[in-house]
Amino acid sequence: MSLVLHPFDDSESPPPECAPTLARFQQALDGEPVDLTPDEHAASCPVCRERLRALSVLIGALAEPHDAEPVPAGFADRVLASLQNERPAERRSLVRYTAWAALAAALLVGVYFAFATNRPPDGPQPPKPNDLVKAEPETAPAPRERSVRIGDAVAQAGQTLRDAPKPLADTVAVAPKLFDALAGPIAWPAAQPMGADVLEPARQAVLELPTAAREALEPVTDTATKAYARFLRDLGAVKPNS
Amino acid sequence: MSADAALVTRCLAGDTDAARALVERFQTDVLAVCRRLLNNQHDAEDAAQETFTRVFRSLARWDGTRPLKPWVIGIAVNRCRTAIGKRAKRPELADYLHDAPDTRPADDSAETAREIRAAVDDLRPEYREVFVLFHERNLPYEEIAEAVGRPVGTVKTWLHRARLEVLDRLRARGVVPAEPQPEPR
Repeated sequence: MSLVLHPFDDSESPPPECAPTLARFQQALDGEPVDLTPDEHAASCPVCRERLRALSVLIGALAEPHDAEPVPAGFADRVLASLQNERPAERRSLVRYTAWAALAAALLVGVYFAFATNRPPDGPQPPKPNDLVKAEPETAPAPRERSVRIGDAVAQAGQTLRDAPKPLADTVAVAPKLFDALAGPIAWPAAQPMGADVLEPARQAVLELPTAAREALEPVTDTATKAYARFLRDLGAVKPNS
Repeated sequence: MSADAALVTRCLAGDTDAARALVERFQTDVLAVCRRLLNNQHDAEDAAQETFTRVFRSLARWDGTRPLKPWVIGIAVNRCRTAIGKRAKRPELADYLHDAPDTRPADDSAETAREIRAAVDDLRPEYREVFVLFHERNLPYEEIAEAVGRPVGTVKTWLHRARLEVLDRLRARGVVPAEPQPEPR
């Protein structure tokens, strides 16, 4: 085959009169049986005649069996190995994704509650345009009521007890004497009308009241402990040679 | 159930033999398309391997009523497009580093084949894809349309333009036999 150089006609769309000839070329390249002898148009159109010769070259070259390039050795093995490697990675990425999603959800919930609990329920609303004219001087918002905290309450209660005035303890300490004074002058009625089986237990209970009161109140008044502490203090104040 | 569907079902069930069978059934076509569209052996193997990775990853989404081959070839074409896009962003290697030298004898037919190949390589990517799939991989229009994700009419239009461009490039490059001259009387 001799090669002849021709100028390249790079026209985007061929002239319409070439269309029927070119349609036959397409049919030939589609594999349809087409007579490729120059038709009337090709006989008078040098470009189409040249295309026709190029077409015969192209059809001949395309009809040649393509060199089947061999598949690289172990290609399927490499593909399957990469799939095996990909599965654990997919699982890891799924776990990572789930962890991130859980963290994001926790953050969202936290942010939501932070806003929901800090938002003033009936706070001042932004003024409407009509309200701007008669807007009053802005005042500081009322201090928010603090919630009661158990630790603070206990500490406050302890402090109150420590700061309690002396008379309170004294008053409590007087209680056993009061019960003695109350129990002493009681004139016990005769046993006959009510029966000794009823009055005797009551009398015993009233008589035991001062002792019971003293024992019950001792932990509160701490009288014995205080007395013992005073005794020790006084004992320490005594000098050996005095 | 078609043979394709049965094979895919086994693959989805985790059958390694079925996965190997699927790779071996399509590896020749996939590698050929990748080599032809990328013109680089190393890039072609990478793209082919990635093609099968994508195939297995999205196998559950394959429509069992359609043929499997154009779907696989379509993924290969997409991987090649991506590889070409990445190649455009990286420094170009010297030409002689791309592939092994062509050791075929330099006769007229080999030269013609090279000229045709060069003419096809100069086509726009979508024209080149349909030309290669039709004339070199012998896929029908419908399967090419499936593979490139375009209507059959668009594929025909692209292929007709591609052919005309190839013919005109062959003319321009002189790969045309001389017009027979009328014998002198």
